[in-house]
Amino acid sequence: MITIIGAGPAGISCALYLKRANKNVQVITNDKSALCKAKYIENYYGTGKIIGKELYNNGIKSIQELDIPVIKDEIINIQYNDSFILEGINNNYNSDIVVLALGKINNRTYIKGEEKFIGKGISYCATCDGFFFKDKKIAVIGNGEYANKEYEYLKNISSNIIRLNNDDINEIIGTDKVTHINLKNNTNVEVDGIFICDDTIDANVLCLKSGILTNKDGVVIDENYQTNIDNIYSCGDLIPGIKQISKAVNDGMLVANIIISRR
Amino acid sequence: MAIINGNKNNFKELINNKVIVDFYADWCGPCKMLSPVLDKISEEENIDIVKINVDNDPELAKEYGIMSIPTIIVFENGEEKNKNIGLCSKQDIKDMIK
Ligand SMILES: Cc1cc2nc3c(=O)[nH]c(=O)nc-3n(C[C@H](O)[C@H](O)[C@H](O)COP(=O)(O)OP(=O)(O)OC[C@H]3O[C@@H](n4cnc5c(N)ncnc54)[C@H](O)[C@@H]3O)c2cc1C
Repeated sequence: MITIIGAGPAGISCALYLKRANKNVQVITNDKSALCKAKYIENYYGTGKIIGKELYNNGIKSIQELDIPVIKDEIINIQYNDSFILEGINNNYNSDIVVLALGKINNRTYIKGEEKFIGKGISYCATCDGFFFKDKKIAVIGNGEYANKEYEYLKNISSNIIRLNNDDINEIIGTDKVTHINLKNNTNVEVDGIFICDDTIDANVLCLKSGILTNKDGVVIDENYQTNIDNIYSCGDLIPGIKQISKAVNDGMLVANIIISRR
Repeated sequence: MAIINGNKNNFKELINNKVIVDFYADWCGPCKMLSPVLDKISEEENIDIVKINVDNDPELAKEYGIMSIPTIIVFENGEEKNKNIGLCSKQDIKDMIK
C-alpha cells in the first residue's frame, strides 16, 4: 500500500499517476490545503478563473472517480516497524511507502516569546519530551483534536495541566527557561513546560516527531524526492521551490513515476 | 572513532576530550533517526560519540538543561562548545565540530 498524506495539487497528482499504473494507493487529508485559502485561481491550465476551494474539491472528486480512497483524518505521527504505521486522530494506517504532500512548512506564526524558548520549556512533541516534565506544571496550547490527544498523553505524566488557546496568550516569558505565560487578560500562569499543538498539527511538527529532516526551506529530499527515511517521499509546497499549483502537480507526477520505476 | 555508552560515573572524564554527546531515549522517534547519522560521523570523523540514555541518567539530562530530545552537545575540555536540539543533518554535525 502507498499512502499519500495530503489532498492538495501535489497529493492528488501523485495519486492519479500511481493509480493509472495499477498501484494500491490511498489518500489521507484533514482538508487544510493552501488552495482553500485562495479566493480565486487564475493562472492554472484550463480552469479559467476558479475559486480555490472549488479546485481543491474537484481534485478530490477526480481521484474518487478512479476509486482511490480519500480518508478524512489527521496524521499526527509516523512510526516504523517492517512497514510504516501512520498514527491518525481516528485510526492507524499501515503503509509500505509514504508520500508527504502536506503543504507549506513553517506556515504558523510563533506566539510572542515562543521561538526563544524552543527546547527550554517549549515542546512540540509530548511523546518525545513529556518525560522531562514529570509532575511539573504544563500548559497545552490549542484546542483541536490533536491538542486533545497530546493532553491525554500528558495527563499520565502530570496532574498539573492547564489548557489554553493560542489567542489567549500575550507572551511566553522566562529566563534561561520558560517560567510563565502572560495572558491577554493580563494575568500570569506559572509553567515549566508548554506543549504547542495549535488547531491542527503543523507540517513541521509532524516531520519533527516522525524524524523527517527539514530545514527552513522545507523537507530535505534527495534527487529522487526521497526524504532522509527510505520509502518516504515528499512533493509540492512541502519541499523547496516555487509555491504554485503547476509546480506541485509536476512534483506529484515525478514522485509517482519514481515510485513506479523503482518497484 | 568510537561510540561510547556514557553514564553519570564516567561522564566528567569523557567530556575532557573533544566528544559529541547524544542525549536520547528508546521511546523517542527522532532519536532513532539521528542515531545512524551519528554512527556515520564516528566512522568519518576523528571524534568519539558519547551516548546518554536519559531514562538511565535523568540527573545528567537535568544538569545540562535537556528538556527536549534528541539533543547533541559538543564538549571540549569539559566545556560545552556547541548544542543542537532536534534532528539535524550529517553536514550540520560536521559544522558543529569544526
Ligand atoms: C491565499 C493563497 C493564494 C494562492 N494563489 C495561487 C494562485 O493563484 N496560483 C497558484 O498556482 N498557486 C496559488 N497558491 C499556492 C497554492 O495554493 C499551493 O502552491 C498549492 O496548493 C500547493 O499544493 P500542495 O499539494 O503542495 O499543498 P496544499 O494544497 O497546501 O495541500 C496540503 C494537503 O495536506 C493535508 N495535510 C497537511 N497536514 C496533514 C496531516 N497532518 N494529516 C492529514 N492531512 C494533512 C492538507 O489537508 C491538504 O490536503 C495560493 C496560496 C494561497 C495561500
